Amino acid sequence: MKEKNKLKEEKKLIIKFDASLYDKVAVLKTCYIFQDRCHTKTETEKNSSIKVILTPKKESADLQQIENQFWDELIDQQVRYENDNLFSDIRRLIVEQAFRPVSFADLKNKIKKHAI
Amino acid sequence: MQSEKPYLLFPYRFMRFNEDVLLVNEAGEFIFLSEDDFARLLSYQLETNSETFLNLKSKHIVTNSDPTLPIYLLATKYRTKKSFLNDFTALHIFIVTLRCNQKCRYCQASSEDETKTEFDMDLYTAKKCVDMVFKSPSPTIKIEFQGGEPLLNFEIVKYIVQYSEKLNKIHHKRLEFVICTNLLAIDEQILRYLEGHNIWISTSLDGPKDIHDANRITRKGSGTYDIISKNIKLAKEKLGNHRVDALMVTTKNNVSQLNKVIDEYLKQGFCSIFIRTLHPFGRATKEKLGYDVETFFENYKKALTYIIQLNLDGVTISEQYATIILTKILTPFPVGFVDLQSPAGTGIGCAVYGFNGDVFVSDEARMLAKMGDHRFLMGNVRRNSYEEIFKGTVTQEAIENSCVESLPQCSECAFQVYCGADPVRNYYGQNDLIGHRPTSEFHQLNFLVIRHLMELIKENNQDIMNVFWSWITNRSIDEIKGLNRG
Repeated sequence: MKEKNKLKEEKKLIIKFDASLYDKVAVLKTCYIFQDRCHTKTETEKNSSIKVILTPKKESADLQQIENQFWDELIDQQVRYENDNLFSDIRRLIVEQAFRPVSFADLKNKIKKHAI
Repeated sequence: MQSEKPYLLFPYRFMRFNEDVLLVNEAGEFIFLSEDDFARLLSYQLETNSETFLNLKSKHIVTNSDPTLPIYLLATKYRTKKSFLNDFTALHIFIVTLRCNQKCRYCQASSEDETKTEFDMDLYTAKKCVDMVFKSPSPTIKIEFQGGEPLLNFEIVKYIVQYSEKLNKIHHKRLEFVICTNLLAIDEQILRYLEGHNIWISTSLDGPKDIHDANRITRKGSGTYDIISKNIKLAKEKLGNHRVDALMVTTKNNVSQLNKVIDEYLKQGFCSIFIRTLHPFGRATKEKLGYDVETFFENYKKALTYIIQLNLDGVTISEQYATIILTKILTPFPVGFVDLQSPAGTGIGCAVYGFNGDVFVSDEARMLAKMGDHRFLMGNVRRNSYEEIFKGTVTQEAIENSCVESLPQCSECAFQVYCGADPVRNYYGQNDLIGHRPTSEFHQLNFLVIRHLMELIKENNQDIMNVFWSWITNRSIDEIKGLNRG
């Protein structure tokens, strides 16, 4: 389920969704990015859903457009979050090898140790 | 667990890019994918013999074989991209005086009257500064004289040059000098000295007479265009065209007339221009010479189009801001531009020595101190050791808070490898070293310019790409075309 409930009030967009679909990190990063166009407020609700309240900074803001952008960004942020978890070991190995290089054979062993 | 999948994904950052998705790896190599292919990539449904997969493999974004080699190669490329960190501080800016014979409307330096010699660097301080400079481990030392107007304290400039040359007989560094001068006080004798010591000139030219004289005026209020035009010519005759450069500042007076500024640069014999934004320090804020980011960007785009067309018409001129970013996008190499690197060049790439021996992490930090805030004062050459100044908490904080790899929003941005952070601008504009990306003009502008250049790269118009490569490699378009023909 993409969206449990959505209320559009005057100059305010309330988006609710199931917390199990999106990590908190992805939600907060999305809200952070939207701070250029909206004041953002995030709340958790008892029924394990998250409520995001977006209040546009400009009166002329198109709420539908903001909502569409928000969902697109949220999905991208969730992918990035999952990618980061996936990549963290490899990323650390790359940086380590860049600044504290070991031989090819030793690198191979390190990679094996990390079960990549 | 990726090992159970048909291929392994390597670190990349992505961004929706019009109808496609841009993917950039840890070393800045990039590829555009369709939305469908991106979805297939994420769900491990790409055929490993498909062209898309092989292209991604060539960019080290996926592999279906032993990961050691791609990790090894990525690490080597990452090290190259970060190789600006190897040498520590190379650029040392000396504020030899705060006195100036001009009173430009946007002056960041809050200059002092010509008579106020108490704002000159003295001999003892100059010696201490040079001693400090030569403690830098960097094999290259560039000393840049700024002010005020450095020619008003030329005796100290000469002392610094000669003392540096003397010390360099022991240290054997690549020693370079640049004097940033408005050229009002230049004469044949000074030019002979500059020529004899291989000192380059960086002057200021904001455009044709009406534009230049709107902001760049003497203390009595008269325009400076006529005299500096004459002196640019003289300097070029004496030092050679390549040793005289000019910088412009974009204000509300010329932002919509950048083509005229470019034409003026060509008229004066320059073959590059750096379309720079106004920094919000000093008098610039009082005089309200600014503009919003969108206004600058729209005009910058037009100016860039104009410059590209000039090149296609056989006129050689590059835009330096675009060249810096294109080099970052299209080559494996870092660019020695302290404003656009991670971590920022504050203290580790550049240091600024005030007339009284105060050492700052950047010129903007000095402006801030002039406005009463000494947040980025690293120390003083008269009181502090090299270690206290360059390894102190001020430098460390500036570095720690300017790694885009860990800054909010930058950490996942696909443009991260091409961009940078400026903790001083963040602190000044947003009262926080890390800054707030969604409302940062510095961020917005860099993002827009990088995106525009990436759009042009994606279009892959061969003529435009030839122009870009001619800028990056400092070769003529004909040479580039010859290389393309192979």
